[in-house]
Amino acid sequence: MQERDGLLKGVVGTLASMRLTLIIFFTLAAVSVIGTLFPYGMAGSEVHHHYPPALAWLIQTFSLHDMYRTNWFRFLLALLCINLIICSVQRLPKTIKLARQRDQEFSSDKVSKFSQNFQMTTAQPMEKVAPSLEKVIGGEFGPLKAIDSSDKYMALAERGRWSSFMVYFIHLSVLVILVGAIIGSLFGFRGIMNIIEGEASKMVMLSRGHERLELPFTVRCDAFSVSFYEMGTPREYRSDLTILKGDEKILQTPIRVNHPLTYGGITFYQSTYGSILTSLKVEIRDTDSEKTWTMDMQMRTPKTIPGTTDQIQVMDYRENIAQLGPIVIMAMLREGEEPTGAYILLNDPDFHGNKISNYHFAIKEAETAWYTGLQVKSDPGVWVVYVGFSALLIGIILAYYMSHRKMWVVAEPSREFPGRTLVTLGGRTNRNPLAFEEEFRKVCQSVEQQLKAGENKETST
Amino acid sequence: MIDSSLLLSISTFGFLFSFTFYLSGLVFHRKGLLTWGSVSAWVVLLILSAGIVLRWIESYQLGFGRAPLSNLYESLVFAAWSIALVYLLLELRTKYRGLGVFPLLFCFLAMAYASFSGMDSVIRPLVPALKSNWLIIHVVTCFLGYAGFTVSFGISILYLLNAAHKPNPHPRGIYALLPPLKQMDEFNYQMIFFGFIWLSIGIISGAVWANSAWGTYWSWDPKETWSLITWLVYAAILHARNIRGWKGNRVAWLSLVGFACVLFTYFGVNFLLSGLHSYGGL
Ligand code: HEM
Repeated sequence: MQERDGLLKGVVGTLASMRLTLIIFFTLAAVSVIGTLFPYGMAGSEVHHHYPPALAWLIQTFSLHDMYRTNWFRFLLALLCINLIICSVQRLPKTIKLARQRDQEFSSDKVSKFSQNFQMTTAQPMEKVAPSLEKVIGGEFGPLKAIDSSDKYMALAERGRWSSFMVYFIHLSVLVILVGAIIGSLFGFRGIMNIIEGEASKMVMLSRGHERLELPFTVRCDAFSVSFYEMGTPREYRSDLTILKGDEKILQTPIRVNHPLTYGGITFYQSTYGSILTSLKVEIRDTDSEKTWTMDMQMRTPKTIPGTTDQIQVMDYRENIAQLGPIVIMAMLREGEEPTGAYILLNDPDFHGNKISNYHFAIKEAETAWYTGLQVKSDPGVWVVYVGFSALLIGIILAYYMSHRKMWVVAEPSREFPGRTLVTLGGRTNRNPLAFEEEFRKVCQSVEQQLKAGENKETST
Repeated sequence: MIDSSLLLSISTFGFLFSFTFYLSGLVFHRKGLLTWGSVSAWVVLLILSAGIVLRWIESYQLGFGRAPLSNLYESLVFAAWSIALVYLLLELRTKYRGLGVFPLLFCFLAMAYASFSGMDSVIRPLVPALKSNWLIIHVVTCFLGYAGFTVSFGISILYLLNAAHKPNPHPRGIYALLPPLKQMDEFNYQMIFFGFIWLSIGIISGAVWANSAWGTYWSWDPKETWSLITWLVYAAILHARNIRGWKGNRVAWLSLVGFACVLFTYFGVNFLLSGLHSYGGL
């Protein structure tokens, strides 16, 4: 039983320790370094393509190409949270106790040994010294609270007693950020939508996996435009979007890069644009028989060449490849053979390479349309994250400026110079000693001036 | 006609002068030279500020006005500006002038690299993704953070050199005009905390910007990840110092590690990692 308690204490102790915190910080930093060496989000098959087998094995085994989503990376983050929570829970009672604690007796001997200290004697009696001290220190540093004592005047002034709670606020905000991130990854999604100008869609291609998601409303792209600077770099892309529910228009608004649209918790960002092929008129010539056909084709819709069993299909369209102008990728499927394909140039119908096997292709007409590429996302955790961000910033800025500063004051009859009063000041801070030193020195100067002025008044009357 | 590039060239040489004053002040232990270093650094900072503002105005004259903070050239100029500012403010507050050698050296190096490496310094319009007020907030805060870390790096080097000569109780020569070790340690901590605050604001503003521009506040791209690594290293330093009582040499060494991360975040990610990626494709 005792042994078990001992073990438990040991484990909790380790989990609460600052040593563990430092280990986690440096481990997180180190594995992130490794993570940046490999392109993030590379598909498994690509890894084998790009790296030698041994390295590829290593990368795959530890999912280094997708590290931030692995369980062991999440484990590290979870460990950080546990560390933080246990450490805070353990320290909080001590902090509260310290903050509540009031000083009892202190002597001028003790106070004169504090890191900031000052001593002087004055001809004024103790009863006159005390109000002067309260006035000066109260005005320049903070209200002096006297502590009951029979034979001397003892008082304490302090500022920022509560500043030691700031770190709890900071650490809580770190947890809030992580909680927000978890909410986002559990309940949010990200994907893309490519909508042809004039058309509408409900389907989002999710970035993870190859799934599609149907939105509860329809997005229509009424118009797309792109403008350029004189130097040829794009100035702005813009899509005019309409949100529809059934046939009912809900919302109509343009979006631009950096100016997204949010509807129903789902945000649409202008991301890319491009043009796609909508239809194609192509002349096909059989170079063996010199027969020709003219066919209308659509993207990715196979057609059979009349009188044969050969099927052709437009696989892809690119606006510009290697300065050759627009091309389509045409594929042919012939029974009993592997599919074959070729680039067919749109602008050069007689190009000798516009050919697959015994067919020559000449594009007669091509119709293209703009499409707009939208990023679509929903992240219900983002506001939690933002709250955490704000709290973290406020917390660390305040932690930088706030400190717990204390001044101790003792006035008592001097033993060395009978009839005079010995005044002792002491000061301590938990942070930024330099600034405190200066402040302390100024307060002491004022105290000295005030007491001297009092002496003079007394002698003159 | 005064244009921004003239003012920037003057600043480059100005920083070299100022660095030379600081260095010779330390080496020959002459306080007067340090004062010259300080005065000249303030003057150069003013000239550089004017240069940056002028470049901003020039971009409006070219018809597309934008803040001068958006390519490597401009960011180097801004880095020099922030280092000079942060260092001079520290100097103003602490009244010690001996710590200026490294900050001013970095100011000069940043300006020299920007001016003499054949880097593209033409004012170009922004691509749509960068057209946002967040750009200004993000860049300014990140660079103030880097500046704090750069000054901390300078203090750490001097600290380590000085501490290595500690057996001699009356330091003469190079170390005579440096603050006492305990003070240097305190300044070092303050600069690290200062940098940490600005880097935090920088990372967070970047995250908020990314979220408003393309919908994720964090996507683990190498630059982001490296800034997080840097942030973690400095967070570790703050905790180690505060709780485990690491002071002096250990904090100074860790600050050097942190600064290496800063440099990598700034240059390495652009030059090496993108390079790795393109080699990976071969
Ligand atoms: C990313 C996570 C964290 C951040 C951003 C963070 C931030 C901070 C900051 C800014 C301070 C004040 C530093 C200073 O005064 O110089 C601090 C202090 C502290 N942190 Fe953290 N911290 C984190 C994680 C942790 C963890 C995991 C622990 C667990 C043991 C921890 C324990 C402490 C303690 C004990 C203090 C000192 C409190 C005091 O001075 O009374 N922190 N932290």
